[in-house]
Amino acid sequence: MTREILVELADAVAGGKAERDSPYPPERRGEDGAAEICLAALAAGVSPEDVLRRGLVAGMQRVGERFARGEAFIPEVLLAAKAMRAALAHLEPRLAKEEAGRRGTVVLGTVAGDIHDLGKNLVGMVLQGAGWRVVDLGVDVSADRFAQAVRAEHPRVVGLSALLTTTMAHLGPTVERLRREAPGLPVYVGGAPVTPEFAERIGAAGTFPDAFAFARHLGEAG
Amino acid sequence: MTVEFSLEADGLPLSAEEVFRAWHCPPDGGNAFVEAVVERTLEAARPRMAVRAGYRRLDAREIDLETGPVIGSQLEGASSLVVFLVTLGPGYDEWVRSSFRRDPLVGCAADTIGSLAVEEAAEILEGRVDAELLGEGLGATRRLSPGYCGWDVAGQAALFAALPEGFLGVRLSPSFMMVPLKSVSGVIGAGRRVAKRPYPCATCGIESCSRRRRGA
Repeated sequence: MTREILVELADAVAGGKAERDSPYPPERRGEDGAAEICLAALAAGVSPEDVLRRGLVAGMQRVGERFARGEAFIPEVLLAAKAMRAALAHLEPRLAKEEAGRRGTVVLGTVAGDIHDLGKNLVGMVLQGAGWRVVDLGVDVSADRFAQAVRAEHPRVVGLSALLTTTMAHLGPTVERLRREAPGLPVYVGGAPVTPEFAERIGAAGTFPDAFAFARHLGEAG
Repeated sequence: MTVEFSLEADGLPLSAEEVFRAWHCPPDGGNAFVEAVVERTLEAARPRMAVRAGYRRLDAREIDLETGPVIGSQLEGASSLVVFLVTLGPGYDEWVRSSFRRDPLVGCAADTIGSLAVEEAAEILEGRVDAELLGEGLGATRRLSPGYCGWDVAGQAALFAALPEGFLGVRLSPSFMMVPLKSVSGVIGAGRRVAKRPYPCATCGIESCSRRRRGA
């Protein structure tokens, strides 16, 4: 029973079926969505951790795999994220901030002077779907603001984004500031112009071609 | 002389296909539902745009833009500089934020549509400036903006200093970000010895750049 309901939940998330009333996908009109299945799983006594890991995370992983193979595009990721959010709204109250089942906190933000947040938002949604608590500081975030968030949120990982070659210049000083603030805290960087060589040069923990590759790496890193 | 004008959002050539191109998707977004959502978002977006544009022409000796070598070479020979600004207004930013909270797909579509719209508005402004300069027998460079081609975003300070205070209701944050976010600033070089040259895209890694999408 537990297994079936979690597979059903993962299917709903991967297929972008948020709620019973959701019009997407058209062929599943009138069927339960992630929200209803999540509630049913909790009512059946499935632990919130299993609902998160084996339902929501598994569903988002499946979209990630399709995205990596070029079989899914950004809209499908967004629809899956919407379904995940619909379920998470019911699950969140049952999951304490750092409770078992959560991998920990990730602080994300776009560096100072840069207003591009589409990529960063996608990363946030995918990481949330991978079981992380995400603190999104938004765009135009100064190194001091990142440091402040690190003090307040005690994240396991920080992710910095920059889309412009010129604002990419803020990545190095921000990584440096965070290294002083929290030695050993992995700080990852991302954005169109960022290369692995650049990430290494500025002392970042790494960079990844897309949100799913980043989530996979964090999952493997434990 | 400072020029200011409004643009009709309905007149901006926007399409769902452009949104999908920006997302590296198939031209229909991958399925009919997604296409319909983006089409609807496009319809909802236009009335929320309060498109304003304006510019000021200065003698090139009056302003030091510190553009860096790539932009500097584009502006070489310009006798005057047209500093310009375009914005969709503050209401659009708020709509994008609230859309995103409600539905990630609609929010992302609204965000991308806004980015495309403000670029199209800048395109129209560029056309007007070109026509004005042509009428005086002058050539024009392409429009060039801080943040691209090695021109540091700190260059915004000099641009905004050349415009009247609070021009079009756009202000700069301490880190030179424009508020409202869906705004474009920049410069066009003018003179008898300048012309539009291709953007130096081969030297830049930003695949999503609007100039690259236009194949310029």
